[in-house]
Amino acid sequence: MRARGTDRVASTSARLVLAWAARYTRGLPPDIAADRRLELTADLHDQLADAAHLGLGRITTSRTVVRRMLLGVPADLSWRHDQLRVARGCAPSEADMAIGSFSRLQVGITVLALPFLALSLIATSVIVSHVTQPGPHEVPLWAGLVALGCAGTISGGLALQVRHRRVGLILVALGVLVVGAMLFWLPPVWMVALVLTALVGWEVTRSHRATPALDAT
Amino acid sequence: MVRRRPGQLLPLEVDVLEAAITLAGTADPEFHGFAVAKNLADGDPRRLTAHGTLYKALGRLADAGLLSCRWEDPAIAEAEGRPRRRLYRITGQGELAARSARQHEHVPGGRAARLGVRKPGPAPA
Repeated sequence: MRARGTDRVASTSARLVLAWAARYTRGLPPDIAADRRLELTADLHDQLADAAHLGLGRITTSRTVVRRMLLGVPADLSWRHDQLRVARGCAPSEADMAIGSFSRLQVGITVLALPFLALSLIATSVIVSHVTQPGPHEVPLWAGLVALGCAGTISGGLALQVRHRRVGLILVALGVLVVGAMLFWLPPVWMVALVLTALVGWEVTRSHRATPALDAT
Repeated sequence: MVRRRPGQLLPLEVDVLEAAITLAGTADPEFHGFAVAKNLADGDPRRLTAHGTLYKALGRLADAGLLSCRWEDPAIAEAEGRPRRRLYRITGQGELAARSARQHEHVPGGRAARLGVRKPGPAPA
């Protein structure tokens, strides 16, 4: 009974991966979409067979399968984007090549987070003012300046990172950290700040390791 | 967010090429995607490379001519009762690229050396 249940878990996770593949290959040229789905089917089969050979539990295997799917989502979306561009007759540009899939994700998250962070800073200062000094208040100037400063630092960092990546990313991290530190008592804000800073730190490390190799070929 | 300059390999792509060289040293010089993921995971099945990341990297390397690929004969897959695999093989250009990347990394032997894996000789392109 338990084996049947765990088998179901493993097959469900594999079906989930294939369902996601069907989703992100939708609208692509049929041969490219079929190739990707067939390659994933073979991969899943090999992974499940290997896990069975190693005697891994089905729950552990399913977790690994789902983890592989989730961590690959940005690359899947980027791959889809590139395939669509090629299908429309325009090869990926240098600019697209310069900013990878993870970059687009990070830029997207940051751009979405910017207004939220700026508004949060202003709202915080207003709330703090009302709590400490009840009565009519105007939005303190410093709150607006800090919000603008942080937003400017993050935006500047994002713009700069195209040419001077490490400096740009460090600026982004700095701006995000200042916002997070000022709003440490608001968990959603500092959690976003920590996640963004971790992503940036990870990326700085990765970019430092990026190796020129094709030059020699 | 790795900026890709023309002629630059990402760390994962270098690792894939080195895994390809290792796999090419076995009886069959051709390998499939899961074999690369398994090789990169260093024996830990919980550290397998994500599907999207792996197959995007393999596709890029194939597009760049560093790997060649073909679909397996359906009869073989059918005889073994499994789906068809896409088989990859490292090219001579791929071996050169891996060697060059290893030199730039300042780590003699590259990833294989870091992992304590003995590298096989150059495989046929």
